[in-house]
Amino acid sequence: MTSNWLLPALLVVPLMAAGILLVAGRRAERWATWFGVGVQSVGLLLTLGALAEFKRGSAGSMQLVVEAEWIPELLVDFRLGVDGISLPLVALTSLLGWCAAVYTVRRVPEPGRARAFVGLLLLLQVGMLGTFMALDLILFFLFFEVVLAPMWFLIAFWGSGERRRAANTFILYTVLGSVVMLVGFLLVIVKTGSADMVELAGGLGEQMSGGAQLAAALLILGGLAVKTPMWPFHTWLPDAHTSAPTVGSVLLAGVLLKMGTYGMVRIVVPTLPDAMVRIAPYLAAFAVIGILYGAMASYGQQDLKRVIAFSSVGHMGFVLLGISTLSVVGINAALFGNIAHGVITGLLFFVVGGIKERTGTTAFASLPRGLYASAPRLGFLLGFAAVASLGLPGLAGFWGEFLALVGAYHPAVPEHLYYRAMLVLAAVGMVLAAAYFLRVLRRVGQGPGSEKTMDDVAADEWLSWTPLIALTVVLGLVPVLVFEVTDPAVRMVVESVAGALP
Amino acid sequence: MHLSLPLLLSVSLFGIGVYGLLVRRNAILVLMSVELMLNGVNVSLVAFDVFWAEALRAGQSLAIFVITIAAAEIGLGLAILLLLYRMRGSIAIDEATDLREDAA
Amino acid sequence: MTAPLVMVLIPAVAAFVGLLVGGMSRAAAGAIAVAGPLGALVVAGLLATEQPWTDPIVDTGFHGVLQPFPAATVVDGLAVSVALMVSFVATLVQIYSIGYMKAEPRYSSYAAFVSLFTAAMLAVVVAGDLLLLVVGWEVMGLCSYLLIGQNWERQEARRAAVKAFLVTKVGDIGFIVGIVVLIGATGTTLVPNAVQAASSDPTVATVASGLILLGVLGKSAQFPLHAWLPDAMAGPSPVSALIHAATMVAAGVYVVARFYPMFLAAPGVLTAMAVIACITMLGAAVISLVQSDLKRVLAWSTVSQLAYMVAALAVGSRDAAVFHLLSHAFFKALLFLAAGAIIHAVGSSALRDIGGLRRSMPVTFMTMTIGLLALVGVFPLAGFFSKESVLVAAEHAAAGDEVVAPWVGWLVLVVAVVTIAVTAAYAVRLWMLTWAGPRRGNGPIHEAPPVMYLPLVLLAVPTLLFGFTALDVSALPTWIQANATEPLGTPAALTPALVTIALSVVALLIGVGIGWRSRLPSAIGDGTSILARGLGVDAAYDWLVVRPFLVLVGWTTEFDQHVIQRTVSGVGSGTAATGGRLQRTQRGDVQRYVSTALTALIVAVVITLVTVAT
Repeated sequence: MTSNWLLPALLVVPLMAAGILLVAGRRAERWATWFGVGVQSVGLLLTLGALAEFKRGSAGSMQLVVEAEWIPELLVDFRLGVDGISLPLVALTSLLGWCAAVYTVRRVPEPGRARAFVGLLLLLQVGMLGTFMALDLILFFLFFEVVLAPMWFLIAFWGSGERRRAANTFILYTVLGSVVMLVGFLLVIVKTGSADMVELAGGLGEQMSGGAQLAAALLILGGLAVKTPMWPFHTWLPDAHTSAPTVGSVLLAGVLLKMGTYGMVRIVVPTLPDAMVRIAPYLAAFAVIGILYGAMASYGQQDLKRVIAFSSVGHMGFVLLGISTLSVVGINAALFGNIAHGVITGLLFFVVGGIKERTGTTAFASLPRGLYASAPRLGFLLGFAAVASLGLPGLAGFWGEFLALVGAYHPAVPEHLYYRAMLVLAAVGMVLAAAYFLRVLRRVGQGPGSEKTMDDVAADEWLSWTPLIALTVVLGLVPVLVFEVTDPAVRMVVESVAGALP
Repeated sequence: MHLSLPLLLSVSLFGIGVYGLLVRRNAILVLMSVELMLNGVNVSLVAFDVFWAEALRAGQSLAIFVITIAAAEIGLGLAILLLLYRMRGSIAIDEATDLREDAA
Repeated sequence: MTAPLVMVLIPAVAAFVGLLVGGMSRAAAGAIAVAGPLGALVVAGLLATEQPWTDPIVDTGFHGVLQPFPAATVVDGLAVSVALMVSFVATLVQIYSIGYMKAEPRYSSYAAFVSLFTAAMLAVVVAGDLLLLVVGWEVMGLCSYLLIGQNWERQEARRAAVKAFLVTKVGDIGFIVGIVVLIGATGTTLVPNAVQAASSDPTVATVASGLILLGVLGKSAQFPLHAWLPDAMAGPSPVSALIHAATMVAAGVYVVARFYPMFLAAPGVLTAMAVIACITMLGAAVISLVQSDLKRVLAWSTVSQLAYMVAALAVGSRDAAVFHLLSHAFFKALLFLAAGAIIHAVGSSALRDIGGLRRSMPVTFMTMTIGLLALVGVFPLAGFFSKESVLVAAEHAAAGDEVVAPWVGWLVLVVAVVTIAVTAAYAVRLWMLTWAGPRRGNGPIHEAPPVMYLPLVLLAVPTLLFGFTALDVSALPTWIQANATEPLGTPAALTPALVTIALSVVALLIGVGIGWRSRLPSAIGDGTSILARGLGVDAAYDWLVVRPFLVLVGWTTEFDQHVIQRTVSGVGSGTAATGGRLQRTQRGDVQRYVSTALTALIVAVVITLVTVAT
């Protein structure tokens, strides 16, 4: 193991870069955005390095592990590593971070102040990457929280509309969630005497009594459910999205939401399998309600960004459904759905940001119609992203949803008929998703035509969006690229559940 | 000497301090009352130290700590009072209620 | 890379390249557009000459649920014959579109979507993997949506596009769940294996085929999911010819044919299919009789003809269904392209603007007449033979020779014969209103340019000759079953029987008689009667699906704002209110704070002492 420095470097580079921006003073305003691109590019290269070093053959075990004693008195160690579950998310985060940095070069949102904006983005990157790499419960919690502060600033200072209110709702709601989660973590640590996620997943967690497992699982799931967001804990999301600046929305939808479902697969399922088997059917019900509710509510929204926000509730419902099956196919589907949603919704928010930049609004009432004519390429991208998001087979959005259904046909938990009913309801949700996206396209893209009146997609926009477009297609055609990495790791997780099944 | 004598002294000092703290209006006197309370505690610390006579001499060390902190505290306190006097020409403690919360 | 995949990829790549560079040069866009399906046609032709194929299932090794690189393909007679037809029609449609879409500003994206559609349809045809099938199936649906909405400046086109997508998507709930059941129950995604495994278990066969049937009803526009097809005529005529007549609507029938052993193991599903097909067949034909729009007549006729195929499947004759699928594709594509030529010349598709065009458009007149004769089923055109084969199959079933009950056979036979009469009536009416009589409307009429009438002539050839393949058992039936991955016994001849010929000739004459009476322009109608509007199915949808959905949407939004949102803000404002009350204790009086603290301390000490003491 010669490349153990990769993961710490992924954290240290943006952290130091943020520090440099902090001390650089005002003259940094001019080069801050370019600096951001450079740092994110380095991060992307490091991620590519990690991808190259990662041994796919043993994707089930932690790799590139770094350990250091930190606070032994509190059983807290500094421990980083990636396996097949976290690696795709690390890659997604680095990629979206890079896209956001490129997009920012020419488009620092009002009121400017590029230095602070880029610095916060870099800090956000540290938290997001750290969350996916942490192998210690407390460390995980720490990174989980680190994400909040920069996001609050991004929404509250660079947002629009009722941004303060949205930012406050966001932070209070999610902090409430993560405090609940922390209590759950502490319960696990106290009961097992370990905060090592690998050790806990490897059987230490199962030794907890049934009651303690259930309590801990409910607490942790509660915290993660807010972040996911699982119905009915979703209300912060539409407000946050509507107010956030474009790159804020992209990272919020693309990465932050994934932290919740990642935590479930990484921590709750393998560490507390007995409790998970008992909770899973309820989780499935919440997931399906989320799918249907998200679709219905989405149809009723009068703002483009809110439509997409509610669509996220629906999509994360499919991810939760996949997890709740506790089956190999279902959890793989959930992890794939995470990645696909990150890529596609990231693209959607970029495109909607582009529309907002050109028209100054995202409300249907004031949006001009006929985008297909007034900016054909932008219109095409909106259509493309919407179609991908409604789950067209052949694009990335489909596999996560379809395989979640396949997983629900054969759940690992005993309630087979119940899950099949959920399967049918979720399939209905897929149609409803088509309904609201077609409404968007009809309202925004089509319409009594106007001439080509808007600036079409600019070169820097193409540069920052192309990776997402390409990934949407590539993952749609060759989803095995993700599955070959996740599958071994998921099998480890499911194995740990197997013992808990009746 | 019996332990009760220094303890009695300690309790009286502390009690006088509490009285001064609660009833005096003059901020200087309030600060002095705090000093009295601290020194009351110091007396009992030293007395117990002699009584137990254990190797680390924890009581005496703690008393020195307290003295140091008390010095810092009185320094800060007097500085604040000085500023307060400059600002409003009075150091009556019940008039200095700028940090009160107005009912929402 | 295997030949079938190459066949799928050529038009797909053409679509991609067309989108990328088509905007720069119209000529290049046209060339790319024709090259895509033409390339596929060449590959399909090469595949056809290689018969018998050594290895029908080409499995690239990537299959299974978690390796959805769905590249397994099936090459058998069924797939190759349909692939030949699809790429042939698609090529002609692309050539035709060069002329027809001359004035269209968005030609390059149009041509690219047609190419993408061709690729998707071919993917369905050669799919040896359930996942590839789903991909092709849904991409077709998307292309259909995009092409119906080609003229999205018009509200009618926008509506029709969304309607087509959503109605078929409703059927796709069943389709997707059916595929999930099939994968889940059989544990494989390879089509032949899954079908074989499912057909040995009646429960799985019934559930899976019943669910997949829903998707088929949507795609193949069968009652009650047929309502999108007539509206889909808002798309350009070549699109109607390719997608809404010849190929995509046939995909539903094709999928049933592909999964046929599984359907045979589910007689209940077959019976349901037969009943649905009968309702659709006759109902759509009658509705077609009163349409006032050229393309809508043809659209309802398509719905009715598709029902013949579904009925053939229901009474146990896959070969008859595929035969009618192929022959219908030729003559219906011909009819729609001819209709396009008329619309191109007249500038309207309303029957009242069209009439007496015989002299001014001789080529279109000749070819469309051939197409209509084939539709009616006049000997020796393709439609005659293929329709006869359906009747023969129904007769067999009525005699109790098939898995379905005899009454199902009788039902199909009777309805099919009656429908022949109605078909003859509306075809004659259409012919009279379009070609005969005086010229209605004004302005000079010109024959379509060669780039448009050449495809018509090329389609007239198989319309005239294709039927003769039925005369020899070794021609079509053996061909369709060649290398079949799921053999269905020895191929039976598709030759007409004397009884059915007699029946259909009588029906046909009655129908012509009825149609002849409606030669007057007054027979056009204004298209507003309940019959012309499709017997109120749209209104039923509106009341049963759309309105409840909108009400639910309203409730959800209200609930979100007033219950969930309010609960959340309630927690926030509750906290603030509590804080406000506690705030009042902060009076700024330090001594008061200290005395409170001391009192608390004393109380704590006392409590401790008391508890320790007791």
